[in-house]
Amino acid sequence: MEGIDEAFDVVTTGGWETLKPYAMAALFVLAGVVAAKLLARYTERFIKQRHSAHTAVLTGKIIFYATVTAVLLVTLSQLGVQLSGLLAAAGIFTVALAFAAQTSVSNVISGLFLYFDRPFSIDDTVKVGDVLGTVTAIDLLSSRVRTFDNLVVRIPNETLLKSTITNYSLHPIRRIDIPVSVAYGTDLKACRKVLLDAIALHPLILDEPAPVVLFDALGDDGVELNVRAWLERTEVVKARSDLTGAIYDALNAADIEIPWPQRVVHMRHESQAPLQAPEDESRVTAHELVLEDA
Amino acid sequence: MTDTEHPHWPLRLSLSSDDSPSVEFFGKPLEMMLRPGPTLEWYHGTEETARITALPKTFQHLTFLPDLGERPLLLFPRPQLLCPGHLTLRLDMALPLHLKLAITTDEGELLVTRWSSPTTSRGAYGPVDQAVVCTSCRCPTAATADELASRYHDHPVLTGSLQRIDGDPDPPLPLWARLHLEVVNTTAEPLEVGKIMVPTSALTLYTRTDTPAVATNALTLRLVGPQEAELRSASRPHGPGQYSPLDAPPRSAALDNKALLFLHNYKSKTGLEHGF
Repeated sequence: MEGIDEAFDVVTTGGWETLKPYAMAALFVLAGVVAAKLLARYTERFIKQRHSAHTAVLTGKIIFYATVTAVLLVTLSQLGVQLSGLLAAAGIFTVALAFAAQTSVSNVISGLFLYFDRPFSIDDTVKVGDVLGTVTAIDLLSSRVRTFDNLVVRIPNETLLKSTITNYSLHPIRRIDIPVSVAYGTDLKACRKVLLDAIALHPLILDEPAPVVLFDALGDDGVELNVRAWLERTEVVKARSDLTGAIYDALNAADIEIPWPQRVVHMRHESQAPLQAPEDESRVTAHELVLEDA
Repeated sequence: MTDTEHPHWPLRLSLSSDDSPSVEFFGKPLEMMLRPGPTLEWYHGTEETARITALPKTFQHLTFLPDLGERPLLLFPRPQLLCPGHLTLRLDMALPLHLKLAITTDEGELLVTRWSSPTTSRGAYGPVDQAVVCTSCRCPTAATADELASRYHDHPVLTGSLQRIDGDPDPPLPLWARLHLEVVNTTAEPLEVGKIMVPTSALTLYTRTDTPAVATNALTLRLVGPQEAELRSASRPHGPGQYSPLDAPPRSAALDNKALLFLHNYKSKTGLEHGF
């Protein structure tokens, strides 16, 4: 209560003259912050029309902090604070701060490196570690990624700088690979034609670079093929789903068997010679089943 | 009803509450009904595709126009072209056209929608890291316009048309354009032309004044190296006959003398677009 009384006394007994410069300074700082926000917002909007959202956001932030710093320095100067002394103190303060906030400072510096390196921009689809999503913000300390199940992941800039980043938005077209397996004995030339015809009918698949069907391997269960097709990057999910369905339908329509996983089992009677192996010796596996006498 | 006795591009249809015109294109009918508001209800093919479209108070009629689309064109001449050194190859190609529907008012035309030709697809031009996605098509190609029409009369590109199907059917309006191409090989080596990329800004559609046939302005492709070509566009279609431009606004005349330099037959540097 005494403090309030004293403050009241100061105001009522002509102390307003003492408080006035501080009140004016507070008002000036407030106006400065508002002006800085407006200036940053308009600059951001202006730059966004001509450059990337990334540059616009960063420029806006730089303008905001620079304007606020200038307003604070001018205000302190008007209040009679010796800036040279303040700057010297600021140096010592900075060293102390650097020790106290190593992680934050590291994030800020990483943020600057990220800006100049530009591995991604706002609205890009990226994969950082296990996180796959769209970049929604790149800030001083961290970046935010919205995942496709609508979660927001905040990733510190330092982590980003150390991580392997995959950017899915840099190039206009992408390739999808669809593995297909067909049974041994399939006419591979006919199978390739069936698959290429199915791909050609799909409107999202680019015909340049032309899609290909590659014979990848002679697998355990069948011949392994790889269908590779190019498309616009925004169509990947739909095209992959459509094309998988179209390939399945086309193989069914052409009576081409998609093999199930299978093992050939040879049964041997202990007291007798082994049962005759099937004609296809290459399919014999290491699995043997021994039948006990009853 | 059409404004003229014989159908001609652009096709203009008036609407009234007791007259629902129908047209057919790309193998499906387009049904149009005037509804109160006024609004236009229409569907192409099946009723699941139905749309209700606002009509302005100053609505006059619906206008159907052939269209090249918004993307650059990636044309694959069929058969492919091979031009020996220092020779010139002159030929005509059939270019499939899209169709656009516009509302004509006192103030001008408002685009309603655009239907892509089913004989086109998408293709990328250039290296995969800088590719431009184009509208691609396999274009029937012949030495002359007459040969093109007779040899490929039943080809899907040349059978594309727009036709009124209500009342007495009108003769169809072709939905393909003749493109005259001159390939000049300035090198000493024989060069193949497997594909040609044409920015749509280099083309204008014209219709003949006496027939509904559509043509583009002629193009010249100067092959200046194994992978380089210059494309120049002429200011009018090749050959005799009177033509009037269909597109509004018409192509900039400044483009006529401007060579568009590009790799005419891009091949990968590594050949590994599909990986190892």
